Amino acid sequence: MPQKKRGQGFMAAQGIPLLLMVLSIILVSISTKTVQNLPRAVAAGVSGGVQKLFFGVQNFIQRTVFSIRELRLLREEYETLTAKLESFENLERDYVNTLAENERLKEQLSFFESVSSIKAAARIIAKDPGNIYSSCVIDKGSSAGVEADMAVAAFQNGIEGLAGKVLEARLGSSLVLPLYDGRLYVAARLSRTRVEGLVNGQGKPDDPLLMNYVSMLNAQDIQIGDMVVTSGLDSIYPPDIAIGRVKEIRTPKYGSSTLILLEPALDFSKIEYLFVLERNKDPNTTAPEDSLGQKTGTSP
Amino acid sequence: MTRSILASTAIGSLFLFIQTTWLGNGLFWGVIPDLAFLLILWVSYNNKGLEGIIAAFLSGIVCDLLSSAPLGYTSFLYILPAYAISFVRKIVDMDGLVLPVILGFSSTLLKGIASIMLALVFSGELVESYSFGDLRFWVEAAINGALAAPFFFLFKKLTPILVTRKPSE
Repeated sequence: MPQKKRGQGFMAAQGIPLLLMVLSIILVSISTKTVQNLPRAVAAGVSGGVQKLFFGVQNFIQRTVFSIRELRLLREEYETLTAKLESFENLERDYVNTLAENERLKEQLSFFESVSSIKAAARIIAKDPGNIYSSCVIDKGSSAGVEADMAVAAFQNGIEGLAGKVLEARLGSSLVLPLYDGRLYVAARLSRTRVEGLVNGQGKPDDPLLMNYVSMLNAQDIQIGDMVVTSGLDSIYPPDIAIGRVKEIRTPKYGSSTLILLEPALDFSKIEYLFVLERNKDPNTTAPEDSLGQKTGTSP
Repeated sequence: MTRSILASTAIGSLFLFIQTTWLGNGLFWGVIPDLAFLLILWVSYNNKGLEGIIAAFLSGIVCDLLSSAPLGYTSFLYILPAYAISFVRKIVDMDGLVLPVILGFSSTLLKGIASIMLALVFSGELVESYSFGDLRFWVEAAINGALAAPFFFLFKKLTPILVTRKPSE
């Protein structure tokens, strides 16, 4: 019994204040007229929360859907831009290639205009089918005035170099024997000392050209790096076309002539265009200027 | 027989045109593989008659017309290995890999010997020849050997037009 009384006392001690506090709040609410707006406020609060929830869900879904759509759009846009970029890159590459080709053609054109003895400008279209012989086919033949034994030159790095001669002229194409072929002999002279000799190749474009029959007495003045040009002392090659530079001088112990090894003036692996030259009508005529722009005299 | 010879020569000529243009700068180290020669070898091995040798002669003439070589030069270079093949086919059976490689390589060596024979008969000034000391010659032999197996496999598909009568018949 005393325990029950103690529990009722505890409840009264704790509950009553709480009750009173709630009551007082209610009273305040009534007196301030807050209570009449309470249901509305509660309803508004609840509905607002639900609305927020719905809005949040809607927003989430919308954002998700939109972002998927946006992602898709972005991807499409990305792909479009990538394609555009690629086409621009191709355009840029084409532009660079066109520019380079333009430069090359300009160089060939300036050579074409500067040399009056050009019969035809041609492009290399084929090479020898095997590995023993070395020849190339150009796209100009007898229909363009090309004839057998006409000299062929090329313009490379600002130098007009001898490339070979026409071996056979067909109707629309010609077979050209390159300078490095062992069967080709060219009357040549050193540009500086005017010493003469006979140049022929060794069959391979990488091997040096050989200049034979150079008198040992004259060979003393020859220096490494001297330019060798055509002498014009034959009916095929016009004078003063660059052949190559002196690479090595071999003087035999017993003999009367020196062998000179030449570095070809042209890089044959890079030649695309060739110029067929008119025949050298007057074998004793020498041009006033050689291919390097140096004034040259007549043969000694 | 005529069909086989004409077809071999036509396809051989096609290969020669490819060699002068698309393969003009060489396949490896500036060395041009001799595809027409591989065709001649295959035709010689797989025909009982003289189809291979005649096709070798005609293809060689076509090659000489495209080249600066004297007319008949490549014909000789093709005929000698084609003739040698006619003896080989009696001894060994063609497989898919080893024999084509050996045939392609050794026949190129024989072609080199044929060119040296020509250079000895004519002067070296008039005709050029392979040099056994030149690395490019060995590269050509190796390339021809390596390409023999896949090309022989392709030629097998053209048996109806390239072969008249097999040696076993």
